[in-house]
Amino acid sequence: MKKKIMVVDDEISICLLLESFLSKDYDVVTFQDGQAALIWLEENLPDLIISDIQMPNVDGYEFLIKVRERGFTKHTPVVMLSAKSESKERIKCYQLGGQDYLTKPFNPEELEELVKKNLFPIHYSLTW
Amino acid sequence: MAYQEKEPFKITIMQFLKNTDQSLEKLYDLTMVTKMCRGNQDHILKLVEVFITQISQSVEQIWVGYNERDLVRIENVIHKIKPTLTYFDTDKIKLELLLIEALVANELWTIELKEKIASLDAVVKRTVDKMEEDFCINNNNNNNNK
Repeated sequence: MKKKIMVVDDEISICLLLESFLSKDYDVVTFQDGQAALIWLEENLPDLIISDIQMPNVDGYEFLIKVRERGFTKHTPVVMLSAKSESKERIKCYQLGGQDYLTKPFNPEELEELVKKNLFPIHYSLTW
Repeated sequence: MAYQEKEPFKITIMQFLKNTDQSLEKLYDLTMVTKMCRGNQDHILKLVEVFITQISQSVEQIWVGYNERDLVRIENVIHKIKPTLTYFDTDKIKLELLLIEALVANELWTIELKEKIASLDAVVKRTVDKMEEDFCINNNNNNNNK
């Protein structure tokens, strides 16, 4: 069974790019709104979440806090996406419980490795 | 640092090749989009359609921001659209946006800013026209919003 990845980004082109790129190997579900994503999480459990930071209504940080507060998703790996490359943004992401931080525009190969690293951590570490 | 490098990739559709003709102005390049869509032409077409809508709306929002002297609105629009421009390799649009971003960052509400937005508007229209021509897209809702 394919692993399930949730993508949250208010930029539809980024959602489509991620869906196109990842759907070969994973089931991908996309949301352009953090609130809608949180509602979906009430009844579904993805294996990995990829979320933008700057979004209207519920931004990425607030989304991450809520994901971590919920029992079922407390340990779900979260990769944050942002066009901002400042270290303070990365630090905040890590402090709130994000596993990784990827700067947009991202190299698809880097994204692929980050996804593997978070979905298959033991296998990934054994390859080294 | 943001991803900037370009990688060689075999382009399979004649429509894409049309735009790589050196005698023509290079307005966009779908090498990266094609790679991320793993060559799926339906996905590529969908992304082109979304890009056309998005970039046109972004210019519209920048004009609104200019007319309302709303610095934050312009900055947010540019911040949002910039990563997508890299995937579509629209260097001319990106350059115009960076110039506008620099003027806005320094709060330079001058005639130069208006000229730069008009210049952005023009290059976006040329790019959209070229994409619509290359992909045989009929789009009647390209807006003029000044």
